[in-house]
Amino acid sequence: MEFQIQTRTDGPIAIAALSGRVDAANSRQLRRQFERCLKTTNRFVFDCQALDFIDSSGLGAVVTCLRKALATAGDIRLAGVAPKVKLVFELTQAEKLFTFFSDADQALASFADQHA
Amino acid sequence: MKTLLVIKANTFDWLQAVFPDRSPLLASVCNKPLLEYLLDFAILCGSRHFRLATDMPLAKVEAVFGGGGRWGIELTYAPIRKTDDLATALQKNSRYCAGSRLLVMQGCFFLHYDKQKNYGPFMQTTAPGELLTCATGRILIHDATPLKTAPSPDGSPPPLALTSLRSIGELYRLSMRVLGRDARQYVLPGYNNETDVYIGRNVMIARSARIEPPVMIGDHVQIHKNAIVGPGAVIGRNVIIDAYSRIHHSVILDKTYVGEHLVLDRKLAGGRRLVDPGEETMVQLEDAHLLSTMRPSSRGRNRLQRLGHGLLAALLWVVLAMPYALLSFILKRQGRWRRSEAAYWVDSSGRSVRLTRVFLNPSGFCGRIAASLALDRYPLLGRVMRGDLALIGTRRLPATAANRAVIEADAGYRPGLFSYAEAEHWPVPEYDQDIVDRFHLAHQTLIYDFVMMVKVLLNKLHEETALCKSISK
Repeated sequence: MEFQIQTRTDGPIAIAALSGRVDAANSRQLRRQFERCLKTTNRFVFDCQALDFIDSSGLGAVVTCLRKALATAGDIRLAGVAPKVKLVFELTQAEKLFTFFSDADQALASFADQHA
Repeated sequence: MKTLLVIKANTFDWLQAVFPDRSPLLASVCNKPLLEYLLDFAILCGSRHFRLATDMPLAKVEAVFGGGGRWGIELTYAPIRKTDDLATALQKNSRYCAGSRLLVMQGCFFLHYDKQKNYGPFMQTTAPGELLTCATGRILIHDATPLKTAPSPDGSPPPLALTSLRSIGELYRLSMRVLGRDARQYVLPGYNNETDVYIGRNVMIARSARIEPPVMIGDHVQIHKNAIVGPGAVIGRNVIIDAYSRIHHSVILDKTYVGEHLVLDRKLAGGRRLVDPGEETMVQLEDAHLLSTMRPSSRGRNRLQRLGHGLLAALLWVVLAMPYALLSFILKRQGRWRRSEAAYWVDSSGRSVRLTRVFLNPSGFCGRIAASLALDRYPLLGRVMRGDLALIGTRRLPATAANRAVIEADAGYRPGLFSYAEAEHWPVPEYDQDIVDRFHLAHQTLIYDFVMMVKVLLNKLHEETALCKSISK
């Protein structure tokens, strides 16, 4: 499956739906698109429900995005990460950097809870 | 007593689905093939003849087990068809089975027994029929040889149980159980001087690495600095655990490279495949720097590589002799060529030699040509031919006390005339270079080294061409 990013905003929170593979071929695309979105908001949900595979370049891109979001006092929450994609996060200890949610709604709600 | 083991390929479908390139018959628990546990048990039962009847390819199994001489038994092999049932298998092996009690094992399972017990009397006095069964196999005693009257010594049967093997998760849990609880019941491979620590041959463990029992480490394993292995780790043969990685409650199969700063907790890894045995999920990684397949090491291969490096060095020595003589003469006269000597560590045992260093100023036509031909390294080619240096390897470290500590702490040190990082055109810092060097060292072969060497020389040429262009602009 080709890599796709579809972004939409839910109030002040941007939801980026990642699908297919995030690897060396498209990690730059992810970073660029994220930087564009970062101009409008700093809170993101990466909906990974349709994400099949991530390699270390992809992981590096997601971590870079997180660093940029944190630098502006924002955050990225990951939703619907498939077990085999999560394995890569666990292996590289990137798991400790993120908060995981079973779906995008829960991830959105977590932002709301934080600001309640 | 004789033993007949009947195993069919379809009983290992679960294993083939996850590790298709590994022989199911050599699937192991705690670095010991399942088949070998059954051989051991047959020997405890007093069986001196063991036959494996299977529809799977036998070449790899025969290469490992041979004729059974290592166990003091006669091991034979018999092909069967996929459609053959047990009765057909028995019929096809009727000559083997005739004239003796027969212990028949059928299916894919793990047999729990205790090496301290004598199963011979029990097997001789047990009536023919099904002895043990589980979802994926059974053990039975075949034939109606008259029972001997002697009862088993203590009157109660010795411990014996079967565990089904239907998934990679079950295989993982079994490995953890044998390592953590039942290790004393079996003959397990490796030296066992410390409780719950089994270490194989040719294992290199960096001083700063930590081994926490229970742990089992196979042959030809390297554990690099600050790595933590255990508790509950089974490391197969020909494995490299690179620096700062942690392996807890996990199984690393043979021929696997585990990259730096990784954590494997309750996982099973083999080659590029990483499995979560709890969730039964598997991912095949594409980053060789994380997990990848290793080639087995051997002393013969090392000698061959040294010879190959020496021959290539000799070839370079001949080809570059004229340019070296001419250009070094000219550059010396121009004051752009200086030589000095310094001591360098040449292996991780702490042997050092004095090596010539050439400082070459690459400005000017002659300097650029000399630099692009890497003539500053020419005086070291003799050291490669003598075997002190590899043609391409890790970064050379000066013989200082601090560097001695580094090479002793790090098993992967093979200094080269050129470093792998140069082939990758890897920039500073040195720490990054070391990661690149160690990765390539773990994966190198003679051909691989040759390709990397060509890359280094092309890089040198490219650097000088780029420099020329920038000067002309």
